[in-house]
Amino acid sequence: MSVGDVAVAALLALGVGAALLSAVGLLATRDPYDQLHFTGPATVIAPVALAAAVLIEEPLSSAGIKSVLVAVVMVTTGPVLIHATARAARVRERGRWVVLSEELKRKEHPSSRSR
Amino acid sequence: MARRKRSTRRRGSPLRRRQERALETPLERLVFGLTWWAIALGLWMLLVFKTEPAEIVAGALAAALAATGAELVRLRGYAPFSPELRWLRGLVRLPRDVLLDTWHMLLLLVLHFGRGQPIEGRFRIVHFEACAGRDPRRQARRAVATWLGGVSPNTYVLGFDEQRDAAVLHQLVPSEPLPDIDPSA
Amino acid sequence: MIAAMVLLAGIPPCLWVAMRGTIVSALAALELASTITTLALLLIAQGLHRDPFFDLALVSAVLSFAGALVFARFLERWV
Repeated sequence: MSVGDVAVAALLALGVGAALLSAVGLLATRDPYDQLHFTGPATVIAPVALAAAVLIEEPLSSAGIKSVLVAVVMVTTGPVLIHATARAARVRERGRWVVLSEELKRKEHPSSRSR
Repeated sequence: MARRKRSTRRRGSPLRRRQERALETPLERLVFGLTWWAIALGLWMLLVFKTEPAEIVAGALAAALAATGAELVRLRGYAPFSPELRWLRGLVRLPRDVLLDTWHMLLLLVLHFGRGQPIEGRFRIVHFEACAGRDPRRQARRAVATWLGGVSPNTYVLGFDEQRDAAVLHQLVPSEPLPDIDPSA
Repeated sequence: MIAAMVLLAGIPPCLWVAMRGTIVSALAALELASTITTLALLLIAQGLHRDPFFDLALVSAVLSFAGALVFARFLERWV
């Protein structure tokens, strides 16, 4: 087994593991807002890892480039989808997009900015 | 940037039915159209993965169609979007954040199944400086903040209260310090 | 191919949540299921060494985004 094969196996394991983690997390939680968090690893880590695995096996081929495109599409659209779904859930609960005054009382300031 | 100056100067007419647009001069519009055309043609070439003249001609035509569509959408002012290049800095810390958050989620699940620890995320209201504004720069800033906040799995952004400079986040594990979603910070 | 098979083990939990959870949970489950399906298509294409199959994964990635967005929009207002 070459170094490339080991890397491919590791990336495949990482990608599949992230997707399965998402599925288990979805099953473990009940609240839709919490469940949406668990779609994250599958849409961000898994496609990048799997595309990297394909790219190592077939660099600069149509397959490699297309899998990179798939990863780019998924990573860009994933957060948008999570946001849209969560917002839809909140609008559904309250009739419209609104932030309540009692919520605003708990407003936090990112003053301890370390970065 | 000249673009920003122009858009802030023109803000103020309350009767403007259409939203502010980011580009106004013919040169800017030409550059916008050509960029879209080049991106679409590049995508076409990547997808067909051939360099035959027929494919290039077909790709150029399809890309022209796509660029026309993009220009039409921009003209209507549906999606005013004028980001700043320096916002790209926010991307640097993303890989680390994503991996760390996923690791924390894994631990959370192990604790949940092992010791029955409940998983309870919560909403957080975070101050977001200079949130209001319909001009392309401000809208782009909010959109980029929403995206940046949503990439790492522990946090996502639901929306903003523009009048009161607040962003509504949801976190699975409340993090300290607060996640830094502002791209211009 | 083995990875694709293992990946598909992620679908039943999504199905379960989609059937038993609230409508928003079901949408989250649908999103995850379509992500997993897209990734499985990618792995199958690579496993079979068939280039055109990668287009399927790409189309699936784009369309599942559009589809879920439409669902979210509908949930907000009408469903």
